Amino acid sequence: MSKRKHAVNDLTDDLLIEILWRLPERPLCRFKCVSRSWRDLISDPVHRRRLALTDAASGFFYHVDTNGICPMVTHLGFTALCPPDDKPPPPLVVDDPVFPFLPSSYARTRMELLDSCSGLLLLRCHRDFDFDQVVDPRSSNNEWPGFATSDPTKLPGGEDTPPCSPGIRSGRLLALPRVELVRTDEYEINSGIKVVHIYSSETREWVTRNSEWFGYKIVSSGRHAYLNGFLHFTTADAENGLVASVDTKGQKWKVTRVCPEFPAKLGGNAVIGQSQRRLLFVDADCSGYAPELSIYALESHAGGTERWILKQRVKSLDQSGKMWFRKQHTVVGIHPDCGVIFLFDSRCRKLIAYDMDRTTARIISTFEEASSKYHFFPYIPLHA
Amino acid sequence: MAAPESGDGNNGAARMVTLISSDNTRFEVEAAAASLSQTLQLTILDGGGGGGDGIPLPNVDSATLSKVLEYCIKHAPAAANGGAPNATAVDRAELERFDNEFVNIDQSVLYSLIMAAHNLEIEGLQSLVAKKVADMIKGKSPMEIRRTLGFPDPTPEEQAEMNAHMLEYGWAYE
Repeated sequence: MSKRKHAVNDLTDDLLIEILWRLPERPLCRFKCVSRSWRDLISDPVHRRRLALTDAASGFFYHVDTNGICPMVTHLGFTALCPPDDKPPPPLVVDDPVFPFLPSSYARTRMELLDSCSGLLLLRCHRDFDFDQVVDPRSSNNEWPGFATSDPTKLPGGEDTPPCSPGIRSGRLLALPRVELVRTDEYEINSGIKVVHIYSSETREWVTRNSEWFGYKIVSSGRHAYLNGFLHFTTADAENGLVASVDTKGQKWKVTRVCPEFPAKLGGNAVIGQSQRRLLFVDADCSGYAPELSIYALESHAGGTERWILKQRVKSLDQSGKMWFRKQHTVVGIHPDCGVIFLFDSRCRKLIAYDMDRTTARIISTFEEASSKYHFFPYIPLHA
Repeated sequence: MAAPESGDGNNGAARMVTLISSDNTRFEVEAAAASLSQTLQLTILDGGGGGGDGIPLPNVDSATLSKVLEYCIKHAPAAANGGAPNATAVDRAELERFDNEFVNIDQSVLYSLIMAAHNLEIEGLQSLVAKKVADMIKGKSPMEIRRTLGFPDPTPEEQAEMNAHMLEYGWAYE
């Protein structure tokens, strides 16, 4: 009887990847510290590609020069939060005809990425008619568990909506821990949101509600967050610090306001996000000589009132004073698991992770293509 | 032995095949159970494995093979039904209970199993074990993972490398 005992080191790379991609952990670099062999394994571009589309990795899908048009998925790049050492991040998706996780029946379908949130992607598919599809790349099967079709012709309450209605200008996938999402339709640009569609992956149904945020306009994609049953959005009135919220059943509507203390003011270019079970509002004020980043957190007080409290105001992103917050920096995301805010430097084309707890900054990646028009879709799946 | 309790008076309608482990132990199982392995399925469809000549499996030892077959025998009926359609909730719960207990074993056996499953292309078994190992290291720090999986102690050089890496990506470990 051969009784040789097997150890983890006997496993082939394929089998290790098979194990690692089942983990909800991220970022992936945590595993790089386990051993040299694991580090090499994870740094391998082929493996990273597979892991990047599963629980194990997070990063940003990005696109250059969209000119306000949603990017075709064929033109997207992906940059992971922890690039392999010394090497530029490999383009993970850009060579693919389509996302590798899409079923083959979609191979010839033109698709745009409309929005991303908590590891879900909202795609618009152009076939005989246009429809939007929610996709969870982490579901590894060929089928699509966790997907929902929001065929505009079939949307509840959309009787007056002809197929391919030009009225639906932008789908927005709005924050949620894999449970709900909201789509807003802007029928009339100037009067704000009229109708909100909320999708629940539990019931697999959309609910449609008339908006009760009278007159508020929700701003462009990525400016939303889910926390404690509510979806929160920054509004086009961001310089007034207005944040609009709705619960996932579409029953409770509220508006909160970030009020900076005089003489500070808001720059009007804010991003909202959930981080460690806190709602953060990160505002970039570039109007003065020394641009500033202000970070507010929503805190509950006795009696159920909620108030935005200033947590940090920074000019220098780094204690050593080597990296200053500047005009060319825009906030592109907030890490849900740690106090890290992602900034894009449009002049040097660098993606930066600013750690607000340690007040340190680190460059995640540098982009080649000479353009200041980069658009980012955070892809940071929530823990299972 | 894991030799199957198959011919339960059902007049031998079930076709049997013989598998031979790397240490020359012979296992007789129903073809349906062995066919959970994609690799074996082809051989069996070609009529192999019957009669006196078994199918040699030079990469799988007898301890592992008996465990693999235990899994296959348990899962064969469900697989024959094409999985779900007429399986009752009770059946499914029973399989799940079996699976949970099945992987509650020594780590070295898990590794042997996953390698055998990979080798024999038994998808269900491979993902079952992968899931189990993933669960073992879920939420652990790199050092804890080393300990859990029984890595040898790092060399000082490796340790220094790891520390440097930790420092650089510290924020990622919160």
